[in-house]
Amino acid sequence: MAARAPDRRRNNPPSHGTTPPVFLSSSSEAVKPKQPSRPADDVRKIFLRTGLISSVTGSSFLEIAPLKLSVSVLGPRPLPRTSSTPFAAQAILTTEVKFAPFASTVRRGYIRDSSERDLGSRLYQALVGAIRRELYPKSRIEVVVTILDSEDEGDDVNTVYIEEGKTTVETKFWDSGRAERALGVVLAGCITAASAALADAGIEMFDLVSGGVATAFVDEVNSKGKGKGDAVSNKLYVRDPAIAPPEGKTPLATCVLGYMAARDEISELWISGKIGTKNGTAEMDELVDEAIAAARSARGVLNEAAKERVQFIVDKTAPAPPSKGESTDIEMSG
Amino acid sequence: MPPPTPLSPPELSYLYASLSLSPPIRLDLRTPTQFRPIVAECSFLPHCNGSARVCMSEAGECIVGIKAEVEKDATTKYVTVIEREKWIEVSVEVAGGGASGAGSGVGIGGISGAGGATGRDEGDGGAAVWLKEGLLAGGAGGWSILDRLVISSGWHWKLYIDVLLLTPTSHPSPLLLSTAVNMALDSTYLPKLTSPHDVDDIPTFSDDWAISVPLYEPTTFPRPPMSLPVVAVGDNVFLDPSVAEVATAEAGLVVTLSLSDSEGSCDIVGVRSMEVGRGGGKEGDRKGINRKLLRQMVNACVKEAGGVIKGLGETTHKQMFRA
Repeated sequence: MAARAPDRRRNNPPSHGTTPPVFLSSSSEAVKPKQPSRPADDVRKIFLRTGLISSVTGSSFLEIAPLKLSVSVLGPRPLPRTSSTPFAAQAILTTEVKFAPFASTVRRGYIRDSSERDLGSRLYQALVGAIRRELYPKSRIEVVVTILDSEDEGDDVNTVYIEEGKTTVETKFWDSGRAERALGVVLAGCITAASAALADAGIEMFDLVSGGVATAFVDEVNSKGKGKGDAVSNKLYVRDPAIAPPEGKTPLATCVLGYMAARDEISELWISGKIGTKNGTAEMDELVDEAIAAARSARGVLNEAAKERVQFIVDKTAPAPPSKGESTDIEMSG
Repeated sequence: MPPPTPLSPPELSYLYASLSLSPPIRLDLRTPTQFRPIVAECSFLPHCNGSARVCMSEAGECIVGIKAEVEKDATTKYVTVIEREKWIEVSVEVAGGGASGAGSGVGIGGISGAGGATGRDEGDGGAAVWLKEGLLAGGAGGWSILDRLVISSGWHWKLYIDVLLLTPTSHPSPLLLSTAVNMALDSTYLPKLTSPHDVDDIPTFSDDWAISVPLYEPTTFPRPPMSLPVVAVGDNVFLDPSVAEVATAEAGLVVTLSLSDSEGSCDIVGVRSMEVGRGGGKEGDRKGINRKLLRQMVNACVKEAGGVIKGLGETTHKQMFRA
């Protein structure tokens, strides 16, 4: 197609789009003061509601600061009766995670990319053990997550500081582990919200699964110096980490997990980053414990959301007995 | 869904009983931490910077070719940020493309996109995701493979890691893929730069392969990462599980390690849960991993795997064309 060739008569814009630069009024002014960060062992406030979508069996909506996602649960519904469908003694669970095209800074297509598919299989892993699938033979349960808004790279890259008299902007590299932190927060949110939606759908489960994230940071100087031992001593564990690392810190490892608090079991574990093994698995344990603590705090919100449905059923069934007493006649008119 | 096995419930139950004994009895009479023998060779593809072929008794055979291309630093998304993660591209392909049908390569080791029916259409994208993740994660906090890919200011190598599975009908274990990628990376050589480092001009290289530079310096650490599957049945932990053991197991992990010194000790660079069959256990037994079991499983990998990874590295170095 001729349309593919670049148009030389016009000044073409960059294909990926740009964000308008923000100029400082004067270069002498101090660089933007950092927002007061929340304590490392604090998680962001979580908003979780169930039953917002009426056309599906169960649904939930979750909001953690910039992250917004909605989960629909379809089923359990019978598998199609074709010859190619294998017999399923347990319910077949399918999970799907999709970013809305407008959910991140760069537009995402409608076809799921590899990171979305990966999130989907992580979510599957987190939920599959918790659902009592043997109670729903020959049926299918579908969990569909749509991410409406997500924390992307953060404001620090959307704003370009250009000093007076300088013509070029210095390029920089992403720190490693940035993508893991971003996806980790999304995955933890997906797990928590999907559990709420499954509870809303009335699907029997062994326990609710809540998601938690924690990242271990070390001082920037420590990581560059070759010393292996000293980096271990002053680690900073941040629960529910933001995309931008704390000042002067560099990320070491991120842990995302799905946790069943009542059973004290981890259904899904995803650790990425470097963890030393000098003291056996002690370093990994610390990180996992932090992520579990984050998952425990999400569990409180999850419990409240799951209660909503119970309350709804109680409210619906409670007025029934008095109405029975009032009149025994039932009008059978159409 | 877990990889389908032809095992019946009574067979799974028998396996479960025998694997949860103390000491356990594995089907092939291995000890819990013993690996199966593999056939591996490297540096045999003339058109590649690094290559490896690995054969495993049950998991099948795969070939990895690594090619490097010179590329100019480019910013995507933002004008000011270079996304270095794009410098490495991993793809996993199943030979013949016949990856459809039960028990095919789709859903490698249960840790790729095996999410039930939705997982069927997506090929092996999932495997590529975790292979790359392990490669990059080793760099968190300090040394990174991406630093090795910098040629000069404004230029870098782009690394294509292509994995070809030759046996589409078997159940490839994560160990097969990661062993092959590990060997290929270990035997990768890049041509030596002859132009100065700090010039923006197009870099030039020596065509003499005898002075080419290894991607991973053979005597330095960390070494390329390696992912080990580990499963738990009852209180027992098994390394390098067979298909039947995965189908029986209650919990599974893939632990990615990279050798951190010449003694054979390893750093953990990643842990992922692996999908297992939960075939043999009783209902309501164990639905996840508790912290004690997690510690036990990771410890088994860290303790036993160092020697295996070290041995593999030594074999690779013996076979390399510049050995």
